[in-house]
Amino acid sequence: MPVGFGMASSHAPSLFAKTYGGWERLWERFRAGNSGPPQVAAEGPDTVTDYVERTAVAFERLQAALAAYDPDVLVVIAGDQNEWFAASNVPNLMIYAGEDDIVGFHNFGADDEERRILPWEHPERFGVRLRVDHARAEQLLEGLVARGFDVAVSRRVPAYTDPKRAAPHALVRPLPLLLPRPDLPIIPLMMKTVERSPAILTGARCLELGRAIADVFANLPGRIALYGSGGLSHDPLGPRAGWVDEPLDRWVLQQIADGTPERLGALYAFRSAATESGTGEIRTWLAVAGAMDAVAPGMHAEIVDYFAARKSTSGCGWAIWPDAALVPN
Amino acid sequence: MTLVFGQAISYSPLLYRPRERWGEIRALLVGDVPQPLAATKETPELLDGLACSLDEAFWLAGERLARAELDALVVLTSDRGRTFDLSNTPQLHVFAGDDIWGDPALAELGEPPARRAFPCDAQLAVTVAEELAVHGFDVSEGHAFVPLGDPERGAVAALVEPLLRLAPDVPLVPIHINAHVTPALTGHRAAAFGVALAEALALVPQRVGIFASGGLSGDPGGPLAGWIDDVLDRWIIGRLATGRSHDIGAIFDVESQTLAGTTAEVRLWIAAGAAMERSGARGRLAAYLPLHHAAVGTAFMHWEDPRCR
Repeated sequence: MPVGFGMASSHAPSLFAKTYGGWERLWERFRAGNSGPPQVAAEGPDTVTDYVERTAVAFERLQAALAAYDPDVLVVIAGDQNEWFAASNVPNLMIYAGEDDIVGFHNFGADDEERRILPWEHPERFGVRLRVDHARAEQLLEGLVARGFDVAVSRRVPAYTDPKRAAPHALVRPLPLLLPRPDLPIIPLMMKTVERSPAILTGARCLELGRAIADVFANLPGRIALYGSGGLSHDPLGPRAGWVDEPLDRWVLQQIADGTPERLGALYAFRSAATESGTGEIRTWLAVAGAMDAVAPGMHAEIVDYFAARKSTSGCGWAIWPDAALVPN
Repeated sequence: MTLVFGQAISYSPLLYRPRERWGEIRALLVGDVPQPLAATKETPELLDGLACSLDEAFWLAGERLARAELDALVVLTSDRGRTFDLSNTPQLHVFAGDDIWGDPALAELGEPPARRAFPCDAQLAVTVAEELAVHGFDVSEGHAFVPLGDPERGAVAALVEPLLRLAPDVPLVPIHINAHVTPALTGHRAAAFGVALAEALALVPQRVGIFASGGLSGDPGGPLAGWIDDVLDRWIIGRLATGRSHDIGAIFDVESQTLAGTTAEVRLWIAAGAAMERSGARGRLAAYLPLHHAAVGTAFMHWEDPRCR
């Protein structure tokens, strides 16, 4: 059974806060001294309440769709932010194929309290444990290397930088809201996304990666789902904090909705302050889009929701590529 | 075209130790693996002669390197669990820090620590990494040297020992090509990488060389320790001498015991050959010594302008 289902979403910290106070505190933390665009002032309690409600609905929609597909494994395509990787060795692509679980912390509600709660100090409340499909991870690793992708090999959970933070937030924050059952195994495929490095995957390469993922699984047993974690445009802690590039986000969403992901190959073919930092995480969406287009060419993704939440610093989006078996040829 | 120099030398610790210690080095590398008959022909007299041949080969290699007057040297090696550990072993890693160090001492034989550092050209490395990514190579990069696999010994001895002998002061761009952690990149990929590397280096104003250190056939410490596939080595050398590095890529389409161990590091020679051929150069064999004591097929090869032949 080939890859049959895809989804992608933002994972900005604010999306896991439920109160206006939480959003305000996160804005203060991530705006890094920038005043942000004029629209920030308009994001008052009513707007934030609307964002919070829509966020819950969107994550529930993705979880329900994933549950309906009933996968055997979820390939999670995600970036790192000094969580697993240090400056001595930052991969463009890496698959963790070890047998140990991935352990980390979500941040649900951690910023809703007046005094910030540090998730790693409360593992009983914030702890997340993710199972890994070791065997299929090895198959994906081998298959991608055979197809000319220079995927770094990991068979031991990386533990570097700040052990308190543990696993990359791109994995452990959104997945508790998405996994239909906590023991659904994942395959973590880590991508360089936010590092502001010139040596980083182009949009075309991300699409190729997705096609290769689909090809690797094409003749292997099992029901495979993909998830791209991160994006859309954002620059938390950077000079453009709050300046969501809404035209870029909507263009990306339009291409996947129209079934024209090849146009996204133009992304990251040039360097720009607008496409680095968090915006680099759209690469994870491109990989999913490339895979789903390989499975069912021209497949239209469903845009579950999108809002440009400046106070979260992020263009926030959710998308589903439906069960490929149900898509008419 | 600023890629002006290319050289590849096999690596064995024996090559960097005096003749009188070859017996203990061989014992360390070969252990109790049953040896081929050819190994029995390595008499003390023959080894004395080979030691002289090695000295001459190194002297010529050093002369060639010095004459090239390089601004920087791209060094291709394959890590063996020293710089990287099981948590993150790259297929391709470009080091873009200011210096790199390693300690090649054989503690097993009582050698005292001998850490040596080498200057690196970080700026050139950043350019190379960027261009490689543009060419579709998903390189890992490092901006600080923090060896995780062996924090005490750092970079592989295959980087440290030849450079100490040949070019201790030329700024380096160290590049790791995975040969020892499965799945390793294919030989075809290594050839394509070499081409992309040459095209990246063609963009820079500096006089740059490529130096590959590792291989050829052998399995020191492994089940075929002491055995050398000289037929394979000579075929590889022949391909490189006739500008056909891409042919060599096919050897890793096959699974064979003979392709494990240091033979897996032929990927370095493929990449170096492909890069130099892209720059218009042709390989020339300086010396080949199927030295069982070294446990590797030992070759010295350089690339030159074919008009110089």
